[in-house]
Amino acid sequence: MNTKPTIVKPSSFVLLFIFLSFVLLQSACMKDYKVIDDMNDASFELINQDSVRVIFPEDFRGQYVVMGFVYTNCPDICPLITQNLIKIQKDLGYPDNVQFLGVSFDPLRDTPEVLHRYKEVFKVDENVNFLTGEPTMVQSFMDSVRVRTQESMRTTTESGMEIYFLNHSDKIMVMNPKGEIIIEYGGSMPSIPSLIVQDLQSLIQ
Amino acid sequence: MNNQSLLFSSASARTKKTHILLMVLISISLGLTLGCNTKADRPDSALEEQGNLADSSITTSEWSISLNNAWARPTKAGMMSAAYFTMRNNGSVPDSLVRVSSNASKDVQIHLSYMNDGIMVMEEQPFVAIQPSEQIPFQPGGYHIMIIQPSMDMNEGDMISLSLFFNSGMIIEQTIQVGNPAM
Ligand SMILES: [Cu+2]
Repeated sequence: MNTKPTIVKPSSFVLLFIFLSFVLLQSACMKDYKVIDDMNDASFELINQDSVRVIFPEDFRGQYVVMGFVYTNCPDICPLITQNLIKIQKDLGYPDNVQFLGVSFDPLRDTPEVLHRYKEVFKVDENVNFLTGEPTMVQSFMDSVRVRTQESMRTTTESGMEIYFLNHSDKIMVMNPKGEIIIEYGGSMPSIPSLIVQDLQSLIQ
Repeated sequence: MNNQSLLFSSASARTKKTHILLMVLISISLGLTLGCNTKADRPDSALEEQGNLADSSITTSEWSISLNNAWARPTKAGMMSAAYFTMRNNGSVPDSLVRVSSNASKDVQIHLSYMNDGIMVMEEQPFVAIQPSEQIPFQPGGYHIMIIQPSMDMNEGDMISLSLFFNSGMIIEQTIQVGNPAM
């Protein structure tokens, strides 16, 4: 019986490897961004940290928008989302043609003044806007981007003040110049900035 | 238990008495079992009344828990901060972190953040148990010490104090730095 094993020549491996890499590379380059949400069906009147009125998405049409969702009473997860926004902006080289937004889903406590202070604490660049608004407006905005929140713990502080925390979706999204959300990632994960930077670089070039 | 079963066999001549004895034995064993259960439950109830029930039998040579790479998130007075570290049990006895206090705020809690059904959840923890040789990271997105509305600004480079109270009665007092050294 012939037990001689079939030997695949190394060169075939190399060829196969090159072929596969090529296929993978090409599919990566041709990455198709599906529309996750078309934001053009509605218009939201919001306000930024300097109390400047912002109409979403109209005011941002023609530009890519990177937006994260936070609340400032959140000390653990939201700082990660905020720091990811900062990192994306920095790694893209502070581009003029990309807008960066941090949108609060806690409008009752996150007034423009509070957002202003939050930006200072996190040393957020002046071209990143933090948005809040009238509670029902903010709620319908969050609904349209499918960011969910629910009240969790209530704690009475030593000084007798009642505070609450929110459970919330953890997201960073990218909206294209047509007002369509095309990218959605987990907002706080450390791997997110490099993914979004890659996506935007391939989209904008 | 052996004495009781001997007693039982010698009395087995009269069935009426046997029945009574049987019932007594059952209630004794039931009582013992329930008693044992309450004892097993003690760690939980002890946590609620920690302080009163501190286990003082632990000697310091068996107990060795350390905090490494501790830092707290910079913030302004009245906002929110969190402290992070790696807690390691180098000793030979298990213990539980049950309470934390700080000079930065009167309201300090042990929290855990985790993802549940697509929602980021943050919950207060009554305690965090640590076994010998175990290492538990307190890091963003997981366990953290929540510093609620600090009474002072916490600027990068400032120092704040933390006191960690354990179920054993041991306390770690440590001064930690504001600002993440790794960033
Ligand atoms: Cu917390």
